[in-house]
Amino acid sequence: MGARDLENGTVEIARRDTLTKETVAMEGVEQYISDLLKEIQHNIFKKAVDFRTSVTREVNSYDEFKVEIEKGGFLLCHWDGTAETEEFIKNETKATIRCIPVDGEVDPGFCMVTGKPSTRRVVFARAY
Amino acid sequence: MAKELKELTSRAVDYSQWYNDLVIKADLAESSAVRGCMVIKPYGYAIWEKIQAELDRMFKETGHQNAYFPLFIPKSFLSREAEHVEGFAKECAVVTHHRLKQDPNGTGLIVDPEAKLEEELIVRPTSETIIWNTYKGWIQSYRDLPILVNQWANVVRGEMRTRLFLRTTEFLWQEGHTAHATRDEAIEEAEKMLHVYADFAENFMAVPVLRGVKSPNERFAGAIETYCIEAMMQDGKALQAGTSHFLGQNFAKAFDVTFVNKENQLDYVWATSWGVSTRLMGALIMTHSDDNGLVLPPNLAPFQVVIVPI
Repeated sequence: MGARDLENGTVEIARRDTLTKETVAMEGVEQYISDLLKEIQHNIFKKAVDFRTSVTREVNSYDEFKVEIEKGGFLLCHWDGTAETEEFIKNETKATIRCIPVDGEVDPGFCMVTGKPSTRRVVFARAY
Repeated sequence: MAKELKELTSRAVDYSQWYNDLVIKADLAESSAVRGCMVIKPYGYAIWEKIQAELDRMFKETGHQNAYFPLFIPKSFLSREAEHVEGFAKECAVVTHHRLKQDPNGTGLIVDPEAKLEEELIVRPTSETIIWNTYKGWIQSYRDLPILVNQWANVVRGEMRTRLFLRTTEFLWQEGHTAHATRDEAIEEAEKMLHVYADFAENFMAVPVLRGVKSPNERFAGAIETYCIEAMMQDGKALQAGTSHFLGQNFAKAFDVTFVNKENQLDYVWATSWGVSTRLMGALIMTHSDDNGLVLPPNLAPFQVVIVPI
């Protein structure tokens, strides 16, 4: 806020998340900022959800998997449920099963490596 | 040595360097004289305190109480649970002596060979063993259950490659350790804490997480089931942000913790454990920050608004 803002009864507000600026009335600014903080909290969460969605995809063959894993993200794949197959994938690609989702739809198919039946897709990724 | 970084390496050039630059430049933490151990600086610690405060509130709201157990664990305790020892043995720091003395041949200090411990102590990598050894004295009947205890503590796990917040030899965390009369109740508790963690990650950290269970390979050493929350970082790598374990009766059997149930029969106690650590700081930074530096969710920001007079 500067001298001109004081004269006009305004304040310039810069947001860290979007890097945008706007000038608002000084009157009622407490409520405005309180709402804006909620909006920022919501916005950065949505941004993170959208990013995750953009890097999450289903992969059906192991050849495709080896290409896709290089691009990062969550890969939803069928796995036969054995430690051997999981270990094999890890050794070849450094990807691990991050989790077997507890919610979401069950979608039976066949393991991308061994072709054995699988009851649902699991989530593969390289991890920290 | 204070080093002022002019600007951040951009994420596109080197994500890993960007992360490291950011942690230093934002004054959150730095490496220390001790290999693999970091110094959490006041601004970083202020964020951690906000994380702690909210989690602590959520734990208490779900019926848990805080307590504190020793930093040191007798070596023999660790080997009581076979899978547990296998999982942690290679990462343990060991205390062998309790005293130093003047080097008779020089000016420095040496370990006093006279002060060798009868039994070596390990620095806790996690506290299931010392806690279940303690619970043996607390539990006789179903009336003593459930025990819903959480501990805020530091733990030590030897790491080959360390990174600020993400992987350090010593880190801060909380570990919940609960004891139950039935299998169902313990599973319910482990699942409840998974959801507490997921709610916290999403509503306070603004970090979206997948909720799931681990494959047997990735399970906690000694657990029947490991529930986890998994986050996605901006470089496409996943980050395990919290885990909650259904431990079955494994630790009760290892430490002989039995109770008289409602049917007046002796049974082993059912267990869970669950934890999140300063690793959450890494997830928070990597999820939201950009090439200009740190971006924090207002719910966890030590400073939400900065007034700039022109």
